[in-house]
Amino acid sequence: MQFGLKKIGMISGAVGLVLLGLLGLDRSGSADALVIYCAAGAQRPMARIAREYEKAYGVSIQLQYGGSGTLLSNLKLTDRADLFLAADRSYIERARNWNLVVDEFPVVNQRAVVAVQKGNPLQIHFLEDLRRPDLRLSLGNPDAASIGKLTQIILQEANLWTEVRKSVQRRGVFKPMVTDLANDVRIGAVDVAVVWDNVVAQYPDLEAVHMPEFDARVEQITVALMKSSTDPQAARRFILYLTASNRGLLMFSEAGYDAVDGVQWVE
Amino acid sequence: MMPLMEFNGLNKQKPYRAPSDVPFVIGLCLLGGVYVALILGMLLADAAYLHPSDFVQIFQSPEIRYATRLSLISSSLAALLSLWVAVPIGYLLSRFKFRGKSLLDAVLDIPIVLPPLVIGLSLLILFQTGLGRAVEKVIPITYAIPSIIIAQFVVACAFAVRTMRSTFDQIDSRREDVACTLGCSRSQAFWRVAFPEARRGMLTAGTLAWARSFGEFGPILIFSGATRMRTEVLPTSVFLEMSIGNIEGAVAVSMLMIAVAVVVLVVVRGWGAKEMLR
Repeated sequence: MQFGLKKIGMISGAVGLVLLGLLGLDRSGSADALVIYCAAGAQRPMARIAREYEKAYGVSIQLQYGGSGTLLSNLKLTDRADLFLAADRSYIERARNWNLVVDEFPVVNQRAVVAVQKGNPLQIHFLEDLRRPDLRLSLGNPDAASIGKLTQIILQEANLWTEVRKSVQRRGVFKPMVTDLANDVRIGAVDVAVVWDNVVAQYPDLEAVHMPEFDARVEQITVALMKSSTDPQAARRFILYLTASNRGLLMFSEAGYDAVDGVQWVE
Repeated sequence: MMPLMEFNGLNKQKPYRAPSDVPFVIGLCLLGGVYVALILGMLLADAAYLHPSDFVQIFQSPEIRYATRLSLISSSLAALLSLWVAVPIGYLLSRFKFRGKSLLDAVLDIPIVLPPLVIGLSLLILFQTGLGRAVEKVIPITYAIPSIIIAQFVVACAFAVRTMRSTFDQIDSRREDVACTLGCSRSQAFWRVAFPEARRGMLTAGTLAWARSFGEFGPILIFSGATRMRTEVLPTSVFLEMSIGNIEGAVAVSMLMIAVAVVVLVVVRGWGAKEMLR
């Protein structure tokens, strides 16, 4: 029996060691890090901005990527973020309704465009072309993706939605992440997708077709300061950096985004 | 405390009394109990998050009803397909020696090792190649319902193969050899001896494959998309509800999934146990 007890003791000890190891591993989640929930579409410039900011001011930044809606769900559940960078204002509006937001600032202007293979082989030029019977389309889910909602509204206004939706259900696909839509065109699984202009800018083999109906509606990538922030002062300072025309906004522009106007960052 | 198992007859001859088994069993229960408590805790937390009206809401949604039906049908088909493939592969691996067997073994583990997103992406790319497009001309696959079954099958089958192989490994091949010496061909020995004996293993493999298929999400999102009333299965519904911030809806669909899965698994296993007794 002694023997059995000893063994169980050893096993429990091993379990304890594993738990200790897990605790020791997660050093990055230290209390003084700024936690930013970041829309997946802004991953590239935000990663660079966070890196430069960490280097310059020694503040550690933890970026958590996801679809804006998914991040919003997480915010509602956990209440652990300092900042929330959302793909458009509607998410910030919803977070406001749940009383999670202190303040908000626009970062990037974006418009919907039609993404096609370079050279536009299928000659897509007008909104009406989207209902062509030979076309395979990839659209965002209207309830899950902000680009999907906007696409639905614009096509409804042009009285094309019912027809286009049917054609997507028959030959195309609805997906919840905007980058997946662009990937579909790139792989060749569909012919066209409706995505944000700044997404196409990140794909060298895709081309953006601008349409007046889409251009008329400008949405904004927006950053919000959250109530749950443990260090609002540090969070505000990062927002200033992010929305400075010679710092964060410049890096967004360099990544192909249409950054809003901002003021200069002065040391 | 659950009734303790007693090792009868071990110590009857000796006056010496065996030390108590209680600490050992308590140790087992403590170690295993943590896991069971974790599972039950998750379920209870989910249930606490819900209001009965959330259930009414999801039952009234035609999208969720469609997704439930599609989930049940597609995972059942995927499980059947998996069995159909897993039995011959399992038998081959268990009974025959051939060159490249260990390589084949490794290949069969790839779907288990690969991240789900990679499986989805690889399937998507495969069906854009010349061969894939030729198949698509006959049956539309990408973004259509067959893509769901294929995505589920690819992963579920790997688990079914593992199960079938260990099933045949545990069945003594000597009985088939005896059947052969009595005049059976290899195929007759398989159908008359090995196959009936493997029924329990097939049931396990089938339910395992079904459960994997029912819960699969990552590959489906990429390869089938999330088109409502077409390629939306229950895990997709959970994800879509999550992405609009409707946590109550997501949890309600999750509970529905758990209920459906438990009912199906209990019924199939119960039925299977009865079949075994016959």
